[in-house]
Amino acid sequence: MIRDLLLHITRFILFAAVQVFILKKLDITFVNPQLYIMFILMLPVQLNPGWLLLSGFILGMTVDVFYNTQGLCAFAAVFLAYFRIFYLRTTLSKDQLDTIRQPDIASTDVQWFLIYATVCSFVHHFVLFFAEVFTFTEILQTLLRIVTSTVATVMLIMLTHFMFFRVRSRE
Amino acid sequence: MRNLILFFQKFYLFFLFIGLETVSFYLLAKNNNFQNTAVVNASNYMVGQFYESVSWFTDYLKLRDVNDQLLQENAKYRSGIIQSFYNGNIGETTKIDSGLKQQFSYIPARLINSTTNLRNNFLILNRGTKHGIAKNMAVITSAGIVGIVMEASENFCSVQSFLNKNAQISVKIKENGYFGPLVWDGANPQYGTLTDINKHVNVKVGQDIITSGFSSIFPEGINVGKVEEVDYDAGGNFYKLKIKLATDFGNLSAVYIVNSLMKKEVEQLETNAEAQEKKAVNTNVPKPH
Repeated sequence: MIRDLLLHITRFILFAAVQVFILKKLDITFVNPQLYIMFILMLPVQLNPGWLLLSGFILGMTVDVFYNTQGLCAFAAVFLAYFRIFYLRTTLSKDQLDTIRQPDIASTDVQWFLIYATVCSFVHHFVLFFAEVFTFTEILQTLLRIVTSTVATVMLIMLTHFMFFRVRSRE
Repeated sequence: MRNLILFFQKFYLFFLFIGLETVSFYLLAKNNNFQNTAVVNASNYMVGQFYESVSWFTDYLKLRDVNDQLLQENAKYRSGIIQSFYNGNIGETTKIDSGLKQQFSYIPARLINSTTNLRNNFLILNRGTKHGIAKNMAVITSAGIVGIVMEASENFCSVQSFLNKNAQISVKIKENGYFGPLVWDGANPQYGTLTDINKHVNVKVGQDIITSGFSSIFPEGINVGKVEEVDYDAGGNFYKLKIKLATDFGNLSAVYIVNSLMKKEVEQLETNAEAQEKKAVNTNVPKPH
């Protein structure tokens, strides 16, 4: 229990640090990858949904402090956390919901995880970028930004997963 | 009561979600001016759209009258501008007023050659010492600043463009008078960078930037550009403002060279002061016997 808590706190710090110290500096037009949302994606399946929302909020606020955008990332992160509850409930069987500890490739498969990462990133980016520009007048530019950033985020999530997470199940 | 508690237990997650989103959105709208105005204006948006599409149509009907009016106005102003007097004399227009003393006179000039895509750009103008051009005179257009004269031959002069690593122009924010140096970062000829403005100053996007007049090269109050982006110096106490320049360096043709008539006086004062200082130092040094 304590070990899990420490693990997730470490992940929290690492994801936030990578986001604000490395990815923020990335200067490509229309590409703003948001790797830190992987922290929310990788939280345990059985985690109390209340804690899930709260950790999403805290993570978002942390990133916001560095991006100087009070509330923006928090808004999108909480939305993503809430969305994740329903996504897992609909795509995983009852059996899986009880047995899987974290929704990674090892406990499911590559295809399921890829779709999970893509859908969640898209939903998150959609909320994030529309909340940021807060207008529909530049809709094409915003949609382009959402799509390119989603691709970048999913690529980074898959890369991180293959590099640092378990891919094969233990048995 | 029990039912109420059960209700909240059942839907606590939804309420938590709404609560957290409200907090985030409140922070977002409170701290971000843009969201703030957008929320307020969202209700007006439909009405505004409607009005705009109506006027888009009716404006066409008035176009002919508006054109005539503009032509007349243009003709009036054109006859009043400096270039209209150009053929009469060498073009140096001076105003005679017994109460005021002229500090700056303007000499119209035409661009012969210029670059904008190098790191250090220069311009060549068709005026030289024959027309009274000397080193360190400012060059401007009707829109904004251009550069400073570096060298003058008999008929031509070369101008260090603002788009140059060594160019630095003292400017200030028109609204509140806070000043700092404006430089060019070498990337885009449309933008300059203004530093050294303290963070406590209230700087907004769209504020006008004008010359400060501290250098005695540029007259005070010449339009330079507008604040395009407000950024912060990493770890410092100063803003790093991105300024959209009013001058279109890619499309320059007619410019004015500014002759500062009192510069000699200022320079004389400076050299006198220097000489006196030297003298004072010399008298303090004991002479060798």
